[in-house]
Amino acid sequence: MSASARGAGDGGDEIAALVERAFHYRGDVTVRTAAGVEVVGYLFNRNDRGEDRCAQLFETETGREVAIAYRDIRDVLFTGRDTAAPRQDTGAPGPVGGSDPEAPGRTATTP
Amino acid sequence: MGLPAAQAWTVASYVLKQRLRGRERYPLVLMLEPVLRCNLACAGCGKIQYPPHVLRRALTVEQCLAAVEECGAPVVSIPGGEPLLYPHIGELVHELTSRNKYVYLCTNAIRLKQKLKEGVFEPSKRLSFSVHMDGLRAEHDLSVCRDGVYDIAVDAIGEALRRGFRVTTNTTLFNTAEPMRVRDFFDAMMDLGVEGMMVSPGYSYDAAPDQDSFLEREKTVELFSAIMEGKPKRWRFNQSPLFLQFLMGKRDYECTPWGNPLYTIFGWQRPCYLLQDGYAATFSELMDDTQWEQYGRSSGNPSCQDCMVHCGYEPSAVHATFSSWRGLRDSAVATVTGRL
Ligand code: SF4
Ligand code: SF4
Repeated sequence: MSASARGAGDGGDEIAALVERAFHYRGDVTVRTAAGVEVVGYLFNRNDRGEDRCAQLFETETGREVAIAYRDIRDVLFTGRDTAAPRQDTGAPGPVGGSDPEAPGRTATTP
Repeated sequence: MGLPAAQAWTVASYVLKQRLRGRERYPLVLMLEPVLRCNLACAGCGKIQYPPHVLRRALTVEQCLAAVEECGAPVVSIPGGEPLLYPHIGELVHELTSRNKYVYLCTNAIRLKQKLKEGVFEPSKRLSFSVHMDGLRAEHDLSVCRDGVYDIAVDAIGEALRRGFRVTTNTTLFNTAEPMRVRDFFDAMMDLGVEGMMVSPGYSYDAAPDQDSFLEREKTVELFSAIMEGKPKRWRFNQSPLFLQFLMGKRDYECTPWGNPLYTIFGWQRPCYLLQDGYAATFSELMDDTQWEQYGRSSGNPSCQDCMVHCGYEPSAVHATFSSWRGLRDSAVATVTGRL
């Protein structure tokens, strides 16, 4: 699940395109920053207009909401399972028996 | 049709007030999604495909009430996900009805009977359970990808009605729908004693697992004409008759995406309940900063070309009702005669 879609250094348009792809991706991503930090989470929104362009994520481990400026992003990796893709094991569409991670007998599989 | 007079009056006076104020864009129904998780995984659903940590998230009651306050719409619909999985659903509904909001709690009804027995809800003229029913037993169970759900829902509807709750149904139709079976289904729902039904064609969500069953525009018109033409008077719909005529191809409207704005765990969704082009932090940001001209059929946006979904076009029909004497008259005639 670590299909990399590398962005190029500080190329603004490429980073914007990568963030855009991540926004439409229904799985977790890993954002690598210029400071060498990796943020893993679900990229749920982006503000791609004006001076303060940034990506917003819910961090997988902490649940914290974080915003990362486009200028600080070096790469975005599509590291989590695409939950909108057909299931690889059975070919069946989507989750089995519902999408409730708290349901009894259901393993909440973090990718 | 199926709307109680007090609710119809509340909506009508709200719309007239907006028009008198010269507001060009105003919300009619707030769609409030406190959770995205669900205990089903329907083939046509594009709402639940998220990683587990996202599905575990929920809005707080305070966040919900702040959104309701900021939006100001007289009606609040709570879809999802499955709202009965929201731990604070009883408190939320109580807070909303005590603020004089009309609430439609959309549910697949799997947990409804249990919640009723636990006393989570109290009957109110402002609360209606809107039970997801996509057809008779075979069609519904196929649509929700689980056997037995139709019977559970029918049982829960009976229980809710016995306890004095308002119950409506909401039905999404796909290209697999057979008009005669849908007519039988509407008869069956009326026999159950529901207050009214809501019906809409499905929207072709990119994320939905079944991409082959969505209706194109011409097919939508063909299907709804076959279902609704000469409909019996006993069928009651909890929606605008002009919207139903639009689905039958008798009227042409442009979409009103701001009419049913969606507030969810990600914020205010742009531009509508169906498309996810981004999120605004506040309702005013949604209304002021969304490039509305990029949406709707006439915009040429490919995502909008086949859409005839209620959340985009029902507000258009309501707006048309109150925009002219003719709209008002046509709506009144359809309501009184039951003819579409
Ligand atoms: S019950 Fe509703 S929210 Fe749940 S999977 Fe079905 S359509 Fe989606
Ligand atoms: S036409 Fe449909 S998809 Fe497009 S903005 Fe309106 S409701 Fe949304």
